[in-house]
Amino acid sequence: MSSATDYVSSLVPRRWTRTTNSYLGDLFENEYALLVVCLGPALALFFLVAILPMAWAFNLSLYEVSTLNPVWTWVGPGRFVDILTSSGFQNAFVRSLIFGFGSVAIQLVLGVGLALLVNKDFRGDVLARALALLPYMVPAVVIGMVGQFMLNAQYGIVNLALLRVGILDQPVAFLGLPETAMATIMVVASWKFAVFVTLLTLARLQSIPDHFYEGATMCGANAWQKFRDVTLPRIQNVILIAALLRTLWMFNKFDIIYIMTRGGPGQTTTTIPLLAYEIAFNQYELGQAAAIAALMFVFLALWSVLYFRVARPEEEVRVA
Amino acid sequence: MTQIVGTYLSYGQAARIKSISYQIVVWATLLTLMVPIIWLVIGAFSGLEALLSGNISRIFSSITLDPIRQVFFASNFFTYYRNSLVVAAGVVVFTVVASTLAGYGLTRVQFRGKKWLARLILFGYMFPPLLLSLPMYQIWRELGLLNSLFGLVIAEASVPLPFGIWTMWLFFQTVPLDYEESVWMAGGSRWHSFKDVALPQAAPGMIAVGIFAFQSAWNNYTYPKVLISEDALRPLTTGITQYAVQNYVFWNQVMAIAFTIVIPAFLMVYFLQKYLLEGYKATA
Repeated sequence: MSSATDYVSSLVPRRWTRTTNSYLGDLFENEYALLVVCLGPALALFFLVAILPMAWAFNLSLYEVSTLNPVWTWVGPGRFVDILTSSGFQNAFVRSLIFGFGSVAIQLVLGVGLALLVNKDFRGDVLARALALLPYMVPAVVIGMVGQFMLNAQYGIVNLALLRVGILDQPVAFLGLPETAMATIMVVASWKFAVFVTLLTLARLQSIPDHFYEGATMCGANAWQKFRDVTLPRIQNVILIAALLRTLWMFNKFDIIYIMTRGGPGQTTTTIPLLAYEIAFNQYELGQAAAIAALMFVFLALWSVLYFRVARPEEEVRVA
Repeated sequence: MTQIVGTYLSYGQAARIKSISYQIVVWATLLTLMVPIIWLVIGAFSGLEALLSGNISRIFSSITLDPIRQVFFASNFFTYYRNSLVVAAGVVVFTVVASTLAGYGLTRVQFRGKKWLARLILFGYMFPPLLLSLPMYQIWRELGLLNSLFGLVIAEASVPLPFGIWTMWLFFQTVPLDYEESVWMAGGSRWHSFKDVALPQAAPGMIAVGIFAFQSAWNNYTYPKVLISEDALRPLTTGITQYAVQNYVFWNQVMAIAFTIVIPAFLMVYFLQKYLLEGYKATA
């Protein structure tokens, strides 16, 4: 360590003295000023874009507010009971649970599998990894549109292929049928977002030293044993973190569902965010929508606390 | 080792066969996963009638630049493209600067409530963007930020910020404090040690955060949908849906716009995946 320290010292030119500090330099000397400079911009944005709107939404949720009518009428906390007991909210909540947990489960399997597959060094591995990561970079809007196009009953490639192979005997409007719409969206969304899991897992996999595997091979371990005893213990925390983040994000997912079905057919793909959008922008009931937002926030907060208690992903953060 | 492999193949031959079959599995999987992208590219260069017939040989004989040309010259495409680039640039700059500073502050300054603050940042993931956008719409209207690219940048920068702070925080933790202390002992100031020692060490993290911020802004649909109603200020994501709603029968043109949105994304991951992995490696 001392040689590294000497090396860094040697980088310091003579003109660096505390007397020649710039204005910014002065700010960095004082611990409190440093704190303000460092955390100020992030906290200011946090306040403006997260805390203030959330407080606003909690306040708004207690009033009857319509975009068509500027007068705010007090309704009080009783509204939350009304919403929680309404079948519209309950159904949307169940659909959110199905969409959230279901698509995250697909993403974990697909994402981890893909990471294991492209982790090795082989010919063209750079291109392979770039292709594996591509779906994440393509906007959900574009994926939603391509999905609509491919799944169309008249000219969609999926139908044409399934008819040709003989799996279907007549075309199916995958996004237009109540039975298939939700499952179809889950598959399309998982295709894109599995890549987030792939990214985190791949980064972790690449940090496992090769000699761990060599050692296991010497001891006569087979591929499954190597995975179970060497790989899995090192990636399980990262998978837990990815699962937490993805669940939060999938619960909040709006764009891909909205683009592909607008919540239909009927209400079969109306998850909570789509319900809130519908109420706010089509029924103009802002107070009602804000109350749904507040409930959603409380649910996600509880889920996170539970998750942090059980999985302790923070431990993982500290290790690095 | 050769005994395990078997009598008929040498170790080298067996390894070769294993490696080739492995590559076949990898490329077959990737090809399957790329079907939507491949279909998008084909659609972007096909005649409409051929494309809707679903007849592969007809589609290939109809290959044309027309869809791209029609989209380029008959729509607000350039405006959307410019808006997206401006917003993405703003989001990247703000996110990288704010996360780097916050990461440094969280690593190097001891203060009360630090643990609490760090948890709050992790909780930043919980704010549901669409649901935040409802009150945000009201606040932005009060502040006069509706229909402004600046207002959009502020809103969209909040999405990658928690992850950015987290990443930079971890990166600065890997820079030993000794390095900075030796700068101070040599007479340098904290600003010098930050700028010339800590910052270069954390550069891969900054690149990773920048890429993450870019993809987040490039993808964002919710905030422009709620905060921008003027067509001339729309970014690509809401611009393309606007275009598709009006011209949804012209699938080849819609795929042509989609194609032009995908190209920068592909170039980004191809050339920067090394840094991307470095960045995520530190967070993992």
